[in-house]
Amino acid sequence: MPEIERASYDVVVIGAGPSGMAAAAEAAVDGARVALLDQQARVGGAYWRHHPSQLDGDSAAHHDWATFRRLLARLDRVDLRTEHAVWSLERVPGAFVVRATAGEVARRPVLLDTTSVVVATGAHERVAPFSGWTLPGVMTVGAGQSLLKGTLVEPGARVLVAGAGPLLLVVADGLLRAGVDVVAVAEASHPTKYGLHPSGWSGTASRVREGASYVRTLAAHRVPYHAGYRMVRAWGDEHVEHAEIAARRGRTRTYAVDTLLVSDGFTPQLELLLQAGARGRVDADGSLVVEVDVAQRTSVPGLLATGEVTGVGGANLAVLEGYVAGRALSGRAVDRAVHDRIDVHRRFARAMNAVHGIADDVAALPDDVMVCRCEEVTAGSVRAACRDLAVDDVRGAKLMTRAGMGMCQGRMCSRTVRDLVAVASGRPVDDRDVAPAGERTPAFPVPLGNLAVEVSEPRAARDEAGLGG
Amino acid sequence: MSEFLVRVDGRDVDAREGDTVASVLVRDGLVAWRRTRVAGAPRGLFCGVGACQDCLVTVDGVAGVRACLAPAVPGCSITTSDAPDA
Repeated sequence: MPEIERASYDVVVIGAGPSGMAAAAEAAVDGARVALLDQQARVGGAYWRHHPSQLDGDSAAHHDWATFRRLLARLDRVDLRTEHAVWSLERVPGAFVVRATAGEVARRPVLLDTTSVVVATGAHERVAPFSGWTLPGVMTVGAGQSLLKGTLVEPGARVLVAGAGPLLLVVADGLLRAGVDVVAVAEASHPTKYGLHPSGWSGTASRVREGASYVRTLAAHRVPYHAGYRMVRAWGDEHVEHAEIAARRGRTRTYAVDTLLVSDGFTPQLELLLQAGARGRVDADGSLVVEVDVAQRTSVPGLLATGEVTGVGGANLAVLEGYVAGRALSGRAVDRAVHDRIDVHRRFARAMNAVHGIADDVAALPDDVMVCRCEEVTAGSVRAACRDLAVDDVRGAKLMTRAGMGMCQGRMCSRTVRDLVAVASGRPVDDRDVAPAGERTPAFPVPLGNLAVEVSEPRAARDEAGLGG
Repeated sequence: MSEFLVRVDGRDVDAREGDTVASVLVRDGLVAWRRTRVAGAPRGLFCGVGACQDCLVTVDGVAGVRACLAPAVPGCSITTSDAPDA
């Protein structure tokens, strides 16, 4: 039976991306004991995913690298715990208990108690299902970017980038610079819609310039950019070999590929916040986010949230929110100008969503398309459960079809299942569809040994750790 | 950049500083290293951030390791469930 490592902190920050790094750096003053946890081996999150050889250089391959270096230098007063996957956040009187598994292979149980917690767990990408999306070689844009930025491994040789949102251009640019053959970029939206949201761009000139530079890179490499096209199907023998995109009016294009990178937006990772009882709400882009006040405090005293979990808004906003949370925890004031910048970035996020946040057309999803990757449940099975078994919510669909019951705990399919059920039962999506998606304890599959180890401890040891009876 | 060897299904495979188990497999030319329970369909890397559980492998006898998160360490033994004799 593995032995539990225990430690006590004033502040535990979960997630070492831009937001978590800023929160930890800002909270670690006046001798405060601060821990920063992340399940990855290196800090920086997806935005600052880097190869260890790049750490000491001025890397042109990364955005805002100077900010990363500055924050990293300030983490010397922080207890950095990488390779820590947090699977439980529990509120106990006057404190929190954080349970983690250290090492993806070693799996040492870790139990931290702390006065305050900042959850900065970010978001994972959302992919709207299409025929063939479970084929090997089909992966999220972020997975491709992780390989390239974190390990300098090219995700493939002939790559189609498809979906919706500015990330498509960012990763296409990175692939082209690495010498990868990008056959095309398919963006479901029409960027001409940017003109409809002029107020969203004010104060964000650098972001707009950045977008323009990506379009120039595509043009320089003669990579077609198909606006208004979405993924229809992918096929191949044992792995993806062809991908077909289609415009709304029906025109299709087919590419021979060995890799397909797809992204249709983001799903904030709220599991730990909901476990601890923080109040959520449905954001403008349809995702569940957590409610915070002007100091990033959730509805649970002592529990703060920053970055994408409060609403998808990008790294610049995430850093500012982390800064505000860290200042709040160390009892220091925040300049009015910081809040003004936060407002600018939130307006920008809303405008981006208005352009790229296209509702999935689940009504058009063919019956034979897999929606739940883990349990291999098709759209047709979910529809049949609604039609024949009177299922009218996500929970019912899960019980009747097993959709969402697999290893990913519904992370990949819950939104699609929710929308399918809503369409099939003829009612709008409401709170009861959204909330169950976040109720996951443990937040990740945990070895039984790590669960059992705590239960089997003598009661005195549990009392000592502040766990009570 | 330091290089080292790992074992993949009993073969010696090159790995490099900064590698994850997934990046070792992808550089080695693998796109799938697992079969699904129901349909027996091939799977490999999908989300890349530890959320989807598609890229699971066995490392040093520990099953259910997320290849996208686990760092490759010198001498580690990676077993895919899609190996010819698995």
